Amino acid sequence: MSETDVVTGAEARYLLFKVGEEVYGTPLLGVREVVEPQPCKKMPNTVKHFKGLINIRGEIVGVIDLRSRFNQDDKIEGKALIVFDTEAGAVGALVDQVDSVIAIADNVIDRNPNVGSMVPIEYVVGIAKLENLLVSLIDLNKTLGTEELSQLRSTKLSAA
Amino acid sequence: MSDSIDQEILGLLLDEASEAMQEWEQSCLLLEKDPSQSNLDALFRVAHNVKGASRSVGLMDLGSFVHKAEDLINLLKDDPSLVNSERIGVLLDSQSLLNEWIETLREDPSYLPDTSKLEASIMQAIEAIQAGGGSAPALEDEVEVAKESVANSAVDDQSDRFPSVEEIQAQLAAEGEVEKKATDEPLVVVKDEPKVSAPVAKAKKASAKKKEAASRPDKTIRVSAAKLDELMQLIGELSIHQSIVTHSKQRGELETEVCGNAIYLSNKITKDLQNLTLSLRMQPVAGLFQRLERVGRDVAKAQEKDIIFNLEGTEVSLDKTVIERVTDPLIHVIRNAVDHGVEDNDQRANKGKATITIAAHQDAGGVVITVKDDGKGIDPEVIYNKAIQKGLISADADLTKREINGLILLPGFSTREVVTDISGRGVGMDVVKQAVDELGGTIEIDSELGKGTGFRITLPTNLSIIDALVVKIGRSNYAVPMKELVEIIDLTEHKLESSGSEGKMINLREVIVPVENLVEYLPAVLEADDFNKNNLELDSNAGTPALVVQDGAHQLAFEVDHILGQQQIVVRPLSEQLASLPGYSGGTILGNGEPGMIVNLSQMTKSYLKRTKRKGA
Repeated sequence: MSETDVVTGAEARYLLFKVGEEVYGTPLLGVREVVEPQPCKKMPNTVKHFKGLINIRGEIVGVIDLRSRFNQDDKIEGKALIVFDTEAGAVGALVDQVDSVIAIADNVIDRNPNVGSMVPIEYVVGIAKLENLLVSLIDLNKTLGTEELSQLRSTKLSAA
Repeated sequence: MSDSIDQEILGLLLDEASEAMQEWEQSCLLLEKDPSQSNLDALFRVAHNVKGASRSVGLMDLGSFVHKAEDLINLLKDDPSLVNSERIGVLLDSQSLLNEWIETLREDPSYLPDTSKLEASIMQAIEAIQAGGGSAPALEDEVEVAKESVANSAVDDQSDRFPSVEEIQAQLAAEGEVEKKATDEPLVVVKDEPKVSAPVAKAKKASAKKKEAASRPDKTIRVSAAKLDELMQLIGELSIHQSIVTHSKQRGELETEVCGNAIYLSNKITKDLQNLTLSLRMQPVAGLFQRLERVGRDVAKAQEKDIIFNLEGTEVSLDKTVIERVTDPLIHVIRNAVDHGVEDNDQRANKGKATITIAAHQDAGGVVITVKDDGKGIDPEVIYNKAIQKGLISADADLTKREINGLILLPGFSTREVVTDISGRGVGMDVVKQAVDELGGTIEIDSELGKGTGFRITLPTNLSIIDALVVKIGRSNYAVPMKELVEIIDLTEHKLESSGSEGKMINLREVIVPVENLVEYLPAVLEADDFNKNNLELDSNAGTPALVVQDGAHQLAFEVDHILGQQQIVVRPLSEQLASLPGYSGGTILGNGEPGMIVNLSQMTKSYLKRTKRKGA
């Protein structure tokens, strides 16, 4: 169960961050930490938006580039790395900028937004109508950990 | 709050009780061989302690069942000549029931099994003894009542087998009514979150409520207090050296001798810490072997076979996880040995008792566990024909004796004509092999017709530190477990032959070994500066190393770019997502602090064999 389900009728805190020009929010409770990006160890046979592995205090963490995942120009390197504690283990997400933490009341969130977006639709859990902007709320905690990363470029390595 | 304390106390008690059950079982098995007073005393003490402890946390039903068994033990204790296998059978059945009861209580604190049948057989045994002119029952009862009242007080003087529960209870008892007794066992219980604060009386009162609490108590492990002291001491030392280094850094004196020494010593202490921490998880295989003996005994009794079980090397230690994961497979091996290995009494050639030896010994590669029977042995002919009949091998397959024996480890292989309750549903031995494979061990079968069968299982002593070769493929460094490698060769010293379409091969001491390039399995990932520097072309005169691996009868060489060295690596758990990537068996942090993946060469070998076989067919 994700935290967004628990707080119906109340307000929950979200971490706001930028990918490209767009501002997104993700439930704060799923975020473990925000760290400086470090060079990733690239891995063969993986999808394009999987940047590779990093060592966070002795733990091996996979990094997903959200610029690339959200179909934006991936030539620019992200400036901040958000580490999520998902059910499947820790996952890092590379974003352009971490903005702030805000509380969003549940009644300003539209749970069934009918809008087109650069973001894969399964990511979006709602659109929050704030004073001067609309924020897409994406539950990265839920989705990042279950992403398929493997993409066999080598035909020799079939799963035996 | 009180609920969580109840949970903790209950968890501790259940840990103690599980241990007591092992002792109960051991005493019974010993009694069967030697009905001596000391064995009976030990059994009585165990039963008595379990009774007292379970009542102290409100498990009245458990307590009263143990009480009934205790009555029987008490009668036997007064006259050891009354011990017979039927009565031991009742006590062992009680142990099985209690064991299951205790394990289920961890999940469901309100669990209550049906004890009526066993209680009846216990009563029957007691009545039989009393009718046969045993000691006066009235007196027994009085003694019992007296003892019980002692047991019911918060701490029983006798229960020095439960030092940790007692200690905690003693600390908890704000009333001070309990006299803390020094314990002779230097054991403490290590827990993840020790939080003991409220009086035990309160906890006891609330114990009825805890039945709703569903959270499972933390897993605990017993470690010696001496080892904990040693750990504390090492940590203390380490922090001193660390502060010297920090201080030197602040003053810019990193190059001084003092600082150099501190760094050197920190390295040493860290290594010591690593070894010590790993040794905390090591347990002797005695408990495992005892369980195996018990299972073997039960099966032998059920099939009316006379079998003596020999246990050897029970002091050899294995990692706790390894023991846990190898228990079920070994039970299957034992069942098989009794069911298939040993023939029925009247069919045995010399009519003597059969012997099954369960032994462990330390080896360079890990711990070797052997299970050997002196039964009829495996007939290679029967196995071979059966395998052909089941389509597991082709009719013209040329196999060595050991390979034929290995066939019974294949899925869907069972030679027994009649499917029995014990083993022989056609599932089984392949599961054993799979479990051993997963642990990184090996299994071999040696058998001689008419002389017996031996299973030889090699297990790693622990799972987390392995010897590995660090290799470079493209720009990435990978670790390859040394135990997967047969040898390392230099391809420039061998003549590469082409085998037609795409393959290469070499003649390695008269064996044809195909050569694959590992970079084709793990394509190099180019990074930006690869285009500027010509990194990949450097050191081309250093030879072309290849790693030779073996899968059954097949050998395969994997060409790599460079071998960087050999080091011990600590296997790190991977997130499920990363673990699902093909081609790797784990992750690690390499010497330079970068993450590195552990290459699963055996998976690649299997993938190669599968591919080439399909082409040939």
